[in-house]
Amino acid sequence: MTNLSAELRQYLIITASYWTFTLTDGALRMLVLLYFHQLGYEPLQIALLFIFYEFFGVVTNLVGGWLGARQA
Amino acid sequence: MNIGLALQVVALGMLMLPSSALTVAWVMAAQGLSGIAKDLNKMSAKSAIKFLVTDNAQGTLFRWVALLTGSKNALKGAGFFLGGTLLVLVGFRTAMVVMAAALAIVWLINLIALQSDLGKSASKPKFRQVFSKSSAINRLSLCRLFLFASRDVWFVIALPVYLAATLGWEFSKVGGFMAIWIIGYGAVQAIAPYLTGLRAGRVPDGRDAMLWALPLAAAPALIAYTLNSQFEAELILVGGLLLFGFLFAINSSLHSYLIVSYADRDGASLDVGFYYMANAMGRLIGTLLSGWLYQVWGLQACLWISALFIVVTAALSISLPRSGSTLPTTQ
Repeated sequence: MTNLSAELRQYLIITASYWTFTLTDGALRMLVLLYFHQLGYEPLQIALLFIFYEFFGVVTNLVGGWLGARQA
Repeated sequence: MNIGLALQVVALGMLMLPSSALTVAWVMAAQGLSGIAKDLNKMSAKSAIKFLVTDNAQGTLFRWVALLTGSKNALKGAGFFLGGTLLVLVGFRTAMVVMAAALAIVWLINLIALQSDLGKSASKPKFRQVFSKSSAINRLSLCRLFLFASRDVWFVIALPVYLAATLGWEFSKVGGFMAIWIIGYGAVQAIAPYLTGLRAGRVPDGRDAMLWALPLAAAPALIAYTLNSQFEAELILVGGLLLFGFLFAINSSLHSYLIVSYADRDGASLDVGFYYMANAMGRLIGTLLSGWLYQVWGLQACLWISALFIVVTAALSISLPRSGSTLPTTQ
């Protein structure tokens, strides 16, 4: 029982961290987009700001997807 | 998890510089760090939960994982709204400081309270193959790439800039609409099995993928067409894009179901890179095209290309296997 509640506590910490992170992830996307638009950046320049962000998504999905499939 | 949180704090710190120091290359680098942080966090959160509930019932695991991933869209959407609102209320730099401080606190809590072996993502593996031996899986992955590109080609840059610049929406309203779209998309995805008949015992196949893609293709085409006429343009754009979100969620959910069913049918393993990176690659292509097409030709061009991409998805779907009305058998 104490073991379970310790696990639950760990789970809650991870979930709360992930939620906070995801909240800032979404907020940062809008902040960068709208702020640099406000500064007068062209749409293509704004798109370029995000290419490394998206590129690493491709890389980690390629590597991490393989990992996920192996563990399943 | 700790590394991901720390990276995001660094990325936010990089953006605290005065606007004159924020060059394109600098912001690209900060966003790159942020992208790595996001993926590290996602992977470690998932693997930690798998690790934590191994001793418990599988049903519990599924419920917890579903809660974690199901809430992702809602929180990301809330983040969109928060971002637009913070920009209006406190400005960009203060927003960076506030978010970095909040994450630093979370990071400290993690350092103190989280078992050190938890929330760590495993070391990098060598992946076996990029393409599957099953051509159905490869074709479906390509469908998925075009599907996600068809969303991001208007969603990522063109729409928010159009709403702010052309329609004169406040930033918090722009963030609010993006929030509603992504939250609604997540919600429809959750109920999609009921809408496609899967829950009623009807098993979807390649034909369903094609048939559901057709109304999805019509949505951006109709919006693009009516934007010409100036007749209730704002209402048609907003309503049309919400309809797009509804149909998109069903298409995306259908693909997720089909990929598993094809893997079963062909006895193929799913450890293929192309399937996993297809939607990320679609997003990357969509993001770049969104900026470029919008800058040169405007929002309508983005919507026409979106429709074209979905037509490509539908055309590719024609060649997907059709299972009839029975469950695909394993082996």
